[in-house]
Amino acid sequence: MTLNTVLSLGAEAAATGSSDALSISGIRDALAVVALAIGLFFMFVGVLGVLRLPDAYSRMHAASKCTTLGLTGMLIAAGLHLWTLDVVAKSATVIIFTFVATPIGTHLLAKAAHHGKLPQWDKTLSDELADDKADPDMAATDDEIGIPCVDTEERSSRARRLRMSA
Amino acid sequence: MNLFAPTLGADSVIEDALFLLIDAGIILISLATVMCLYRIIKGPTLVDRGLASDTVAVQIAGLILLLSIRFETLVTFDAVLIVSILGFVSTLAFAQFIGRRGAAQ
Repeated sequence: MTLNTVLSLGAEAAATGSSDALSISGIRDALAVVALAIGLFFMFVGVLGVLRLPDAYSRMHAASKCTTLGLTGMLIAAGLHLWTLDVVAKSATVIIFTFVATPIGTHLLAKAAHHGKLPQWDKTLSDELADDKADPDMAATDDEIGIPCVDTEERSSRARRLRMSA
Repeated sequence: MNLFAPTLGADSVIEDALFLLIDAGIILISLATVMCLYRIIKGPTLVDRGLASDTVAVQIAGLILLLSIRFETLVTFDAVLIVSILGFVSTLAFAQFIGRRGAAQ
């Protein structure tokens, strides 16, 4: 059954009053049901990850990905169900903001945790940021990767070293 | 789902399913928020607490969204954006705090 058939059946049903087929708002509601189910699934799986995963880094992975997808699914469902211009525009705004902001926040948190020497899980396979910091050729100091440094004397000496090496 | 003037047909079935799913989602997200609060209280390190509070902010945004669909009011729809922005800014402040502190324990 093509979409046109569904739509004509819906129009016919709306005209005659009997409604065995879906109208357009019914189709939108069906899509909203699917989007809302996906969103709730991802939201709950993300929280299960925050609750159950072994260390803070893997918890960050679960939280950022799953809550981003979960909120996106719910916002798509809201836009499809209500279907007015302001709701759709606000939903799109929040979706774009969430997709930009959540990875940035989680990335900063992970960098700060790594800078603070948060221990990793025993079975973690590799730590490439620590390897790069230990490698003198990479010379990735904390200043370069943007972690604020408390000790101003240390910072100035490090800046001097950087200037001399450059 | 209007109880006083019931409509028949496929549309009303879909709409009932949507509202049932919204009710289930409100319960599910409340449960998930409680689970995140457990992680905030228990969380062995500061990073876990910051992370769980960020997740709570996202969930409260979702809860506001579902409630505003459920009660058919658009007044609270703007709060979703506000709560997301607040959660993002609080995560940034938390990351700065942990970075300045130098120890994530």
